[in-house]
Amino acid sequence: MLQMVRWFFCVGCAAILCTGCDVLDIKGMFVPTSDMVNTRFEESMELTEGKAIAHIEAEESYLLYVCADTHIDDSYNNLREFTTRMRNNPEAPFGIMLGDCIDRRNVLPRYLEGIEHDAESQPYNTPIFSVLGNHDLFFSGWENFVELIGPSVYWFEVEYGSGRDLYITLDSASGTLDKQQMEWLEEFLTTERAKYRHCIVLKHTNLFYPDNSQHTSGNMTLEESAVIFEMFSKHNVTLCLQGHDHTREDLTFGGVRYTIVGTIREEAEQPEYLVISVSDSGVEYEWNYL
Amino acid sequence: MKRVTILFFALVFAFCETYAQQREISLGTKVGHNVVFGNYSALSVAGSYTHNHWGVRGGGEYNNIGRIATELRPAYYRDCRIGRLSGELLLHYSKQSQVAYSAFGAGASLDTKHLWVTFGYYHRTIAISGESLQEPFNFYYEAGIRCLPNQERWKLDVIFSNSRMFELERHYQPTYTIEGGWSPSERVGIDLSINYKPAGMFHMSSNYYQFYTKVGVCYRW
Repeated sequence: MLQMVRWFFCVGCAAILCTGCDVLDIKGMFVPTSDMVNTRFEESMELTEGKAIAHIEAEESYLLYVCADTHIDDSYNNLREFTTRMRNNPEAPFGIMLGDCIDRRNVLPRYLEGIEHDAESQPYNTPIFSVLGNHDLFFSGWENFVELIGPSVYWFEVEYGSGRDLYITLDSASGTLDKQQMEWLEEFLTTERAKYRHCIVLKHTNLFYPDNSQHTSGNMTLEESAVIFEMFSKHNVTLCLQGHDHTREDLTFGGVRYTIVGTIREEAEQPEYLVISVSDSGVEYEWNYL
Repeated sequence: MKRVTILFFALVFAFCETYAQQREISLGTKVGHNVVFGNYSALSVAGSYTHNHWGVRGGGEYNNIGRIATELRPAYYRDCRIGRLSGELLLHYSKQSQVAYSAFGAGASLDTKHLWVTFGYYHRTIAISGESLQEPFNFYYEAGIRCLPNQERWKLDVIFSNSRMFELERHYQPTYTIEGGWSPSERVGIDLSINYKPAGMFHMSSNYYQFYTKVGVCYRW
């Protein structure tokens, strides 16, 4: 308990200092900005017209490279190393970054440099799909994100010959999906889920709080979490991948596997990423370090 | 669940009848809007009893979006130089659709003329379809300021809390409340509160989540 209080005190002081360094947007934490979830959802739907943003071809069994929380500031060595490893593996048709691309105002172009294809060291031009994180929204960051990366709510599918896998990316960066996104998700799962082998949901913030690693980070409300994990159970979602916490967590609840991938930020003591083998028999994990 | 609620109220009132010193019962109704369910309303019944240094408060709430909640907080009070110190136990059970939450914890409060602060720790179990998950590292808090400390009939409080009666949110999810009250007589009181809960506090980018008003009538004897 004392440790928790000490943490809050330190984080509070650090937060005030960080505001002056363009790192934390204190105002945005308390007062809703113009970039509300519903606005972002509507813009995303306009951009994608509700259709899949990609149809990726893969073998029946393929590898999925997942990293989270790059928090790009001045350099992007870890992100570059992650993309290089992924783009050297022919079994990986695409990669995922689970949000918090940047750590400071106006550095999103540096993140894009980090995921840019380097033909010399990366034989395959494997795409990376990015999820919107809370840090990406600081200082009204949505305008940059949507302009340089794209929508925050979208879906795509992987075709492997005899079937397809469904990937849904959600915008949870403000700690809520809000009503429109929630209704869209419920309807989408109801109409589409049965057509796919696996359904994998990608989001940034967390639904559960089983250890004290999250004590300074905000997440979704309890009520909304309950609605979401009931929905995921009902529609037989295979896996929900999340970031945000910077600490690995892997649990199964209501028949759905929920995994938090740790961080690959430059300052991390042990930057980690996840390689998931997706096949008919389900998903298998291999944790890797940079 | 119905049995638990009946047993709970029976215990509270049986206790009150035997050792009655100061008792209060209140009925409340809540009307609100949140981003998940849209408009909703709720009804609640709560009771409290104090006798010397001991007290207990508890009750239940039912809302029309499929959530029920009951809570019981026995407490021990001691007066000190600046106000009243208390230690309390917390027992909470709620169910929303198929998901059940049960929590137990303990906390301490300091209540002075101008403000009060409560801080405590609780352990929560979440259950769905026979599976359960532990959340052992939660804490709850409430901080309030009395804007009219010298008024006997009127009250106006500003409150910051993640643990309003029947709501036990995670610590990063506080509710801001302004609560007013009027007592036309010693025995009767009328309360009105407006409550705002944002999503995405603490290390996030904030968004509106919920707003509700609550009206309550209480009777003391």
